[in-house]
Amino acid sequence: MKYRTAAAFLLLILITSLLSCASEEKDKKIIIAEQYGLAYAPLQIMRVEKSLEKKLHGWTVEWKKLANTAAIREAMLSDNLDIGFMGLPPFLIGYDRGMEWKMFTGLCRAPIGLVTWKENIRKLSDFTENDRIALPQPGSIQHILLTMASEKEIGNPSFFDNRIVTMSHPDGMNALLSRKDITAHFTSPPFIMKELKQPGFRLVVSGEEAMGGNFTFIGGTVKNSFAEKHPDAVAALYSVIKDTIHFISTKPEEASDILSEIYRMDREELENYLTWDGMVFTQDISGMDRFILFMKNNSYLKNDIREEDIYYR
Amino acid sequence: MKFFWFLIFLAVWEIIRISGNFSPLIFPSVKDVVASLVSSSIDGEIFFQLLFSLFIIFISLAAGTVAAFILVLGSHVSGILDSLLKSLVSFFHPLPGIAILPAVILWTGTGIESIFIIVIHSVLWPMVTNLHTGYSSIPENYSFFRKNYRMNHFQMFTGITLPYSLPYILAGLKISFARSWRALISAEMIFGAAGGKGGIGWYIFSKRVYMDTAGIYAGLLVIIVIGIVIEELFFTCIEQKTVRKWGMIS
Amino acid sequence: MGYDQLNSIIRLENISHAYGGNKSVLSDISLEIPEKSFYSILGPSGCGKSTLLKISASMLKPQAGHVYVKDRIVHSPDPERIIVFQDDNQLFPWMTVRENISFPLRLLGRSIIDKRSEILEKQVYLDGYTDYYPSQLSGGMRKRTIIARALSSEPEILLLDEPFSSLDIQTRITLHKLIYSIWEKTGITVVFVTHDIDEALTLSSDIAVMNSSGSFTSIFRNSFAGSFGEMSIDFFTRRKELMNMIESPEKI
Repeated sequence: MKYRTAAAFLLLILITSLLSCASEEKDKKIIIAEQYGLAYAPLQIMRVEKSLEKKLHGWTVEWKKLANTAAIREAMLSDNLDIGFMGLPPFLIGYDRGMEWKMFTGLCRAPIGLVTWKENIRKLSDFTENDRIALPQPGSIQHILLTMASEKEIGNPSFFDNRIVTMSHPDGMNALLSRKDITAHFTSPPFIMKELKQPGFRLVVSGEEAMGGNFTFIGGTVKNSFAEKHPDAVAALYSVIKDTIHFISTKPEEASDILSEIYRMDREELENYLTWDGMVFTQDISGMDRFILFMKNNSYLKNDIREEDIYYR
Repeated sequence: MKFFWFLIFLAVWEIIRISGNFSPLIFPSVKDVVASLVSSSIDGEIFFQLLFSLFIIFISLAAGTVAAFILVLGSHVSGILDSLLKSLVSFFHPLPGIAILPAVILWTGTGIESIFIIVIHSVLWPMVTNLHTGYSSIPENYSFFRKNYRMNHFQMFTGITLPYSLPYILAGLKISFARSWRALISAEMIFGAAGGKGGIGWYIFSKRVYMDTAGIYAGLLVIIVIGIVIEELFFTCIEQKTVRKWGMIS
Repeated sequence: MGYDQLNSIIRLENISHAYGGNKSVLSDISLEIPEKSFYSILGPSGCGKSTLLKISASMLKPQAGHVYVKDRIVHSPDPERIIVFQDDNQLFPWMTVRENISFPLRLLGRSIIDKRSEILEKQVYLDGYTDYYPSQLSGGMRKRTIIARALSSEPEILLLDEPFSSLDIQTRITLHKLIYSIWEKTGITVVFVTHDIDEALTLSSDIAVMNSSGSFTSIFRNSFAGSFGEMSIDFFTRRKELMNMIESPEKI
């Protein structure tokens, strides 16, 4: 008897849970997620200037700032997100595992790299057993670039895997500045610039050295179901990004005015970072082929991914 | 009984999955979870992670228990120590282990020491509370006995205090284990690979970042199994052989 | 009775004691307990007889007065004066009957432990229960274990504080016979605190009657010791006298 009641109860839970996900239609609403850092500057401007709303009449635009790509993927899976911005490797990992999403735009190239405070660390092989490297998470673009570099220099891509401490960029910077057990930080603008300004801090390896060429740092992904239903919204978003990038490159002072408030940074400093060598806002995507090749070779990807399949056009 | 409910749970899981309303990235099949568990077991990954976690817990439980004993014995010798200890317990007992993480990182960085501090913190205070209760409830008759045979402190401690406190020690260990196990897993998920090996929390986290959903569930399953093995089999077994056999708890 | 009444083994001299405040429990009590006697202190509950027993064992320091054992002044407890209380929780639940009984022997560093424990177990009819834990025993068996343990170190004096009051009448009679025969055989001095007149009359060689204000109204040698079940007219007359003595206390 007890068993039957319990079974009925479980069945009830099951049915309600199935029903609840079948419903809930959210029309004319677009939810976009970004992360921390200067790479997302065009998005910040779009957000405060409400550029997308101006183009998509009658639409609600919701912005989310998530701590890492895993959170973006999970939000998308649970239907709480339509668009996400992230590094190329986490996008590829999600695509490889079956996420139904595509990359519809690039956002920027950026000077990223591994910074250390330790006097005796000049190259990767100088790291000892006790040195710790902070980066956002395994599988992030920072981690993949580190494995690329360690494959090149040391011959073993997973050499640093047990010396990684996962930290968000701000936490990682604080840990590095305290000059304790975190001896190096693989990071991106503006954190990398701030760290390199510290006396004695230096770049061990840059992203471009690791990669052997330039590459897109952040790109935008769209969930397939959203793109199929609202191709016009994706197109609008693409063109707004285009306009905003154009605005930043043609009027960096104005852009810096807006951004310095958002990033709570000195205007001069921000403009300096925005026009930093290697900081390029562009929708072109580069380096994807090399990421695919390296990640497949090192089992970060399980399937053969063809570059032409992963872009939304 | 538990097994029956577990099977029901698996059945419901599979029905939800087959219904196709959820992406396999949310609801992987039971088969995939088992497969992930098996492959992680075969390459020893999950094993080492688990051993590492349990090793930290074991050391911390031992250290925490000894420290708790010293504190409690000390508090029975000196009134000042007693009031200090009582205050310390009321300050620190309510603090979840993971809550002190940011402060601990500031003091000791992100190395294995920090994990130890957090886990020992989770162990120490419940242990002190339990031992204190046990120690204070030692029957007066035992102290007459002690005086009658002129037992010294060592004889009293090993012969009477320790065995008398065993039910309280075990209760303390149970609470401490539960608390420290949770704190450790949380800390591992935040820290990453402290000390070169990650622990089971890190195992789950790395499955998350590589989007291996089946692996996440495999990790959860392992945590459940460890919980059952330690809390139900291990502690129950010790209790059966000691305090329950002696009729000290029913 | 088998003792020489001239020698006292415990002498209490001008003992006064009060707990906490004004109400005096014992005031200026003196008492001599003869060697090898079965000495009962009989009195109503709350009269201070247990306090007096604890003082006799040096478990409690009197506020005034002295305790002498064989004319030597004593200040602290020793294994020659073992005190036993009413509660069952004097046994250690984590020790078997054998371990409980032999524990004092180990503490005192005696060389013959198992042999002595075996004899004691036989003496209290627990030889079939060597490996039982206290929780597995009946109330009477636990009492016998406690007595065997108290006897194990062969003390000169056994101080019993209403040891049998929580037992049913049948078990109590059995234990009366047991403690009496042990006293007869070993020549140990037993100081026995009780509020039960029958118990005192059946067992004791000497009885000191205490009233509710904590002073002795009568001290006498008892002729009914060992008279289990033979309750004569004399016994009942004596019983009646004692009852009056306890029930009508002197007013202060």
